[in-house]
Amino acid sequence: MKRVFTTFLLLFILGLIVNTQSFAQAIKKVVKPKTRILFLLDCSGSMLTTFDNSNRMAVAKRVMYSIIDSLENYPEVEYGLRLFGSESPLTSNDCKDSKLEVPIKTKNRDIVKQKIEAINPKGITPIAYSLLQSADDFPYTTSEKRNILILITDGIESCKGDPCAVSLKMQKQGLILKPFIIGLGSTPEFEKAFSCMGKYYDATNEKSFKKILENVVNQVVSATSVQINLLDINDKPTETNIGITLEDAVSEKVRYNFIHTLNSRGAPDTLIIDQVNTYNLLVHTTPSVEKRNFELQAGVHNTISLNAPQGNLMIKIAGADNRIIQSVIYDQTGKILISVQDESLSEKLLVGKYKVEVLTLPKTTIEAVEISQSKTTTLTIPTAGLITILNTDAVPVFASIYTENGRELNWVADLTGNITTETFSLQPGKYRLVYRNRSAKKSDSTKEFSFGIISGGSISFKL
Amino acid sequence: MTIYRKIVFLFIINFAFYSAYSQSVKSDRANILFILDASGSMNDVWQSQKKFESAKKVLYQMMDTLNDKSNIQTAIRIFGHQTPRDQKDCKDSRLEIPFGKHTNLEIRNKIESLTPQGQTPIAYSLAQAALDFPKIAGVRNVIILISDGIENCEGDPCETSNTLQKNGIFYKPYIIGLGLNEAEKKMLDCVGKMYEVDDEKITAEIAKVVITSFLNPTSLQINLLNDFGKPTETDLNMTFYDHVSKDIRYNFYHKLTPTGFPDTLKVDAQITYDVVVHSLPPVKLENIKLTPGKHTSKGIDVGQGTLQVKITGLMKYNNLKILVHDKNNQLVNIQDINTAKKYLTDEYTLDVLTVPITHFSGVEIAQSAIKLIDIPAPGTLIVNSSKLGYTFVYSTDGARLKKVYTFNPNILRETLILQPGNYLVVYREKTNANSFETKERPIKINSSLTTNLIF
Repeated sequence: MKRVFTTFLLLFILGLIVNTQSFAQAIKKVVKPKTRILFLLDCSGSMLTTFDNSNRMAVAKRVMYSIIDSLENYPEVEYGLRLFGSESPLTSNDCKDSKLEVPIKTKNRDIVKQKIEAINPKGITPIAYSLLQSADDFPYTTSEKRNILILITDGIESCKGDPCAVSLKMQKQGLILKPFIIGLGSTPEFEKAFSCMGKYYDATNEKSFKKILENVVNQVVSATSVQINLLDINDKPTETNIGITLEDAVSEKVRYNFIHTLNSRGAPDTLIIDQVNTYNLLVHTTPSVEKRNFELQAGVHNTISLNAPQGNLMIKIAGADNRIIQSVIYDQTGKILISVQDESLSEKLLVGKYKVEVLTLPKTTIEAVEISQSKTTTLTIPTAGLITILNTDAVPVFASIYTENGRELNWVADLTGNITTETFSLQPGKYRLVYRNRSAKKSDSTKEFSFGIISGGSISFKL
Repeated sequence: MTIYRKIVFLFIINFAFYSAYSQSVKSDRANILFILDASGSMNDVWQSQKKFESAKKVLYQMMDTLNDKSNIQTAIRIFGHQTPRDQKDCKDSRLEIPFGKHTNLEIRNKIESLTPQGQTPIAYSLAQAALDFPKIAGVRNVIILISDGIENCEGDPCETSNTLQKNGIFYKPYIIGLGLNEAEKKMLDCVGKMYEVDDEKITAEIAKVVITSFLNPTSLQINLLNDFGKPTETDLNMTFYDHVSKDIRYNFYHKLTPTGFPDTLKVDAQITYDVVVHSLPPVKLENIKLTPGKHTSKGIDVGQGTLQVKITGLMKYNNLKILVHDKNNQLVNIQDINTAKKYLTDEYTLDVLTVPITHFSGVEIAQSAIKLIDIPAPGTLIVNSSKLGYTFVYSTDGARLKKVYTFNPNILRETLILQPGNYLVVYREKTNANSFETKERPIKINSSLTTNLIF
């Protein structure tokens, strides 16, 4: 029994190694931006408390040495060290006791180890202040970068700062990605205090601490695989060839743009991406859909599913009549403008109901147009007819055209009223032209002309 | 069992065939048909004389007033005078004197020679009366009915009146009743406008009012008010609907006189109107009643300002439209670029159908002011791809990426007219590709300049 387990464990570890290798390959391809890690280490007096047959500081030192050694495998990763509580004794209550011991750069192993070796814990815990200071620890660069902060602490903020607010603000400004926090000798209040600040891990002994820190660094330096399933109306991942954007959920900064692809087996292909971020997935359907605030797991194949069922809409004019007609697509309530579409083009829309206003004269309103999965809904608009209004002497007039629906006149268009010929392409129907000479003395010299328009027909009227 | 009521009515029913002759109402000419009740109960004594005598007095007073009017013709239809009551003749109704000028004497002679005796077929008489008028365009047809009884021939004058009003055959009639009880008043109220006669003095007054209502000019003035309550808005078309039948009666393009006042409209005084002013959006004022023989003035708030959306520089869009939405997101108008249009003073939301849509919210149109909105001239993006692919354009100027255009995946070269701004163009080959082969090109589009991209 024990042997079987050991074998299994061995296989698992081997698997991890294989995985890491394949990730390492992927990293070169995907985790392009420069990675910079700032270790923020608690050196307050309480770090001398007994922990796992040793004390917290001694454990932290050993684990840090090991991690720093392993980072030698990633020579492109830059890192530095900031300490707090290392300078002033507890009694002096120094809330500015925070110091960048080793600035961030590559090839830092020896100096970082040296500084860690020399730590003599004594002070208090100014976490928020240290975070604020750390903003300047990451050297300014215009190129893409990933600024990672790893906080190792055995106590919560003791200087009235608000580490959560500071962290969130810095993330939003894109100064840092979501920080990692490893708590030693936690009390029940740790979880609450740190989970709003970043990804919080509770280390209960030296072994778990080491594992956690390794895992964190692994997350930072490696990528993970993810497959994005864009589901059709039957929850099958068949929707594809749509632009998708993965953005950091906190800063809403774009991390990746892809055009979604199905592989040769017809399944969504695998994306290898950075797993440090909490993501929003934005799918550029019409209208767009999104999934907010999800994290990816390291070392496993992640599947993210989102409903994006689509159908097509085409708006046609029954016969060619030389007009360029656009249509405006609104949501079903008619209050939200979704897109504008040219005639005779088949455009994709999310499955659902829409209100369509075809910009004919007068506009043609079509309510509750239904778009169904993978089908094309075609709206055919009647061909217009022409009316030419002649004003031979270009006598200035006020004139307007109305539809006569039932017994109601609805305004359609005004004439310019001072040119000799005006032509309107109107949808078939009953109309009335109402006009008056601008110089007429009385409003009862208003005249009217009722007319009908048929598709493809042409009439003229002399004012 | 027929119950006679102590009533004298006066029905005034104005017939005009507007559906055919919508201009006719501007005429001053009128044909007046009197319909006189000569049923048996007209012999009853009421207020110290026979009711028939009271009816005659009202009738003669009106006829005397009308006698010297050259634009008026009169005729009389009488019912209940030919057959005794006990025979219950419900078709006892006859046009005794047809239309003609100076028919006064003939009518008087006819009335003086008859004896009231029969039934009260009001609905039947109304239906017959419709045929009594000569079919001449441009003449107002008026009926004056004098009766002392509620319909007793199973006809329903109330329903007839309403049906005919709705069909545009005649307008709300006037009714003058003598000694009506409450139930009778209520019953007749739906037939038309009713006047009650209590004594002779009032009889004379009613005659005057009734005659005045169609003889004297009744005029209407519509004041199109600006935001300061001044009637300075004008040159808008107004459609007048019959409030009852909903028929279109008139269109008037509003006019201010040279002295700056809204001019006077000659409209049929007996109609209640709903007026729609075709501003953007339109404004409706319902239930406009005119006072016969008087000038009526009505104000409608239509303060306007002007909106103009311009593109400076090269206008490359074909047929660029602006959607103008009101505060409730209702589409008010589709305006063309580089044109000016008046709107009611309010806040509007504009969507200029550029790529991407140029959106303006809270656009305030103020009284008499011109709101000028300038759209920068677009640039051009030409995308060439060596292989067919999917190409999308995202705007990067907002907080988040927003797709603004999808290129046709079936052509290798496409030209897009695009507003100035920052964009990201993403491309991926159509076949034999994977997501990682998605290419991204950030671009900046400048007015009137062309950007070329090759994938």
